[in-house]
Amino acid sequence: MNKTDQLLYFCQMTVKENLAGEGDCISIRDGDGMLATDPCKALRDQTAEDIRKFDFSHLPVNKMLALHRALYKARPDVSAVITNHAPYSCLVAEKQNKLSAVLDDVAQIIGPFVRFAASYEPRDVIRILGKRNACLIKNGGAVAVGRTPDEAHTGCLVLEKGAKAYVEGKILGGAKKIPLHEALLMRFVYKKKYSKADQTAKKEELDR
Amino acid sequence: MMDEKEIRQAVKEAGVRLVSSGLVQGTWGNISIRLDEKHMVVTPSGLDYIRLKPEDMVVVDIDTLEYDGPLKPTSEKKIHAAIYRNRKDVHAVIHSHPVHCSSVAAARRELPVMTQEMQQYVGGPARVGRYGLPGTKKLTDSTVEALGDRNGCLMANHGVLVCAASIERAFEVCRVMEECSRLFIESEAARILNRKDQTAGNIREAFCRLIK
Repeated sequence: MNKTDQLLYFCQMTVKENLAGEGDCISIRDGDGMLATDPCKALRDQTAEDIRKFDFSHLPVNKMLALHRALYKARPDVSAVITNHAPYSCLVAEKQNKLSAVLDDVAQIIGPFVRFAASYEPRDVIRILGKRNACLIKNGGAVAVGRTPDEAHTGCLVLEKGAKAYVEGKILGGAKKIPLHEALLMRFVYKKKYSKADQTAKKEELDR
Repeated sequence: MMDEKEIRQAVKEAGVRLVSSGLVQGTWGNISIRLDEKHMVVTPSGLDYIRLKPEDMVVVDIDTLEYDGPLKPTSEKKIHAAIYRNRKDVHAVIHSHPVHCSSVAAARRELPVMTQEMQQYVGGPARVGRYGLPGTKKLTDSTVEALGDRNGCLMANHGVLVCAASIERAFEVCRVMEECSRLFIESEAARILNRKDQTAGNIREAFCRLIK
């Protein structure tokens, strides 16, 4: 698959998995720029004609595209960015100020807790995201980044699952947090070992 | 009886089915099928099921956990092996992370029998094993204890483990547990709101009421 086809594939996956909302955007690093979907159009309606190349030397007018560009510039390790508005992520972003990992896969892929950026302003998101793979935007949606589109997609999928488990766990009497040191250990193992071979193979394919 | 080649193929196909049916995200979860009295065929650790070939599946000794080949077996091989040692009736094991089961597991609540189908497929309420780090003895022991003689249990903050006489039946147990987890969550949301209708629409409202 070329990069445009990959973008369209992840648009479809995001919609299929009920992770999409209004103002979503998916991009892939492409040389000294990025290929990105049109943030003014729903992911379900994106076609190859909507995918555009943005050179990093120009600041896009659209705020979401400007955020994607800033993330690529701040994080050389990142090859894909997804900003989306999945229902439980948005609910938690609206009602809570922090989200602890209550599932192993959240601890592994995102970390012991999900951090909240105050806004979509690039400096807010870059500061809060740090070296992590995903964060929430207060009163907004989610941001997920990855070494490959697959990893960014998994980040927003797992973030939504973690938010859902938190919300539904509350209804069942309260979801139990994973102890901090155990969450940190799982995150370390995921980054250094578990995902390495798989993501390296996928990154090589993306760069081909 | 299937031979090794057929079982490798069946494990590979089950891995793809696990991903395509939304029972896991990414490479998470693992599957095994009993090969014979002493061996099981398991999925390897940390690799995308879609890309794997039948020959990538790993044959593991149930008693010693020794294996051949370049790929490491799943880190949860100890749980799979312990179940095959304890339960001669079991020929397939699936560990997955379906969303509703995961929510119940995050709350560490026992899943009550919600339907007749659950009684038939699981054999009673699904108990929750104590929390343990992946791959540890603590997680193995608590999961095997929670499973007992039933066909499914929850793993605290982790997901679900099911077993059956065939891989097809194991997928059915998984489906039933996910469906019953959804019913359980919706019934608790309706109870909080003091409503008779049990719908997904109540969940947001019940959550907002609880955090007021």
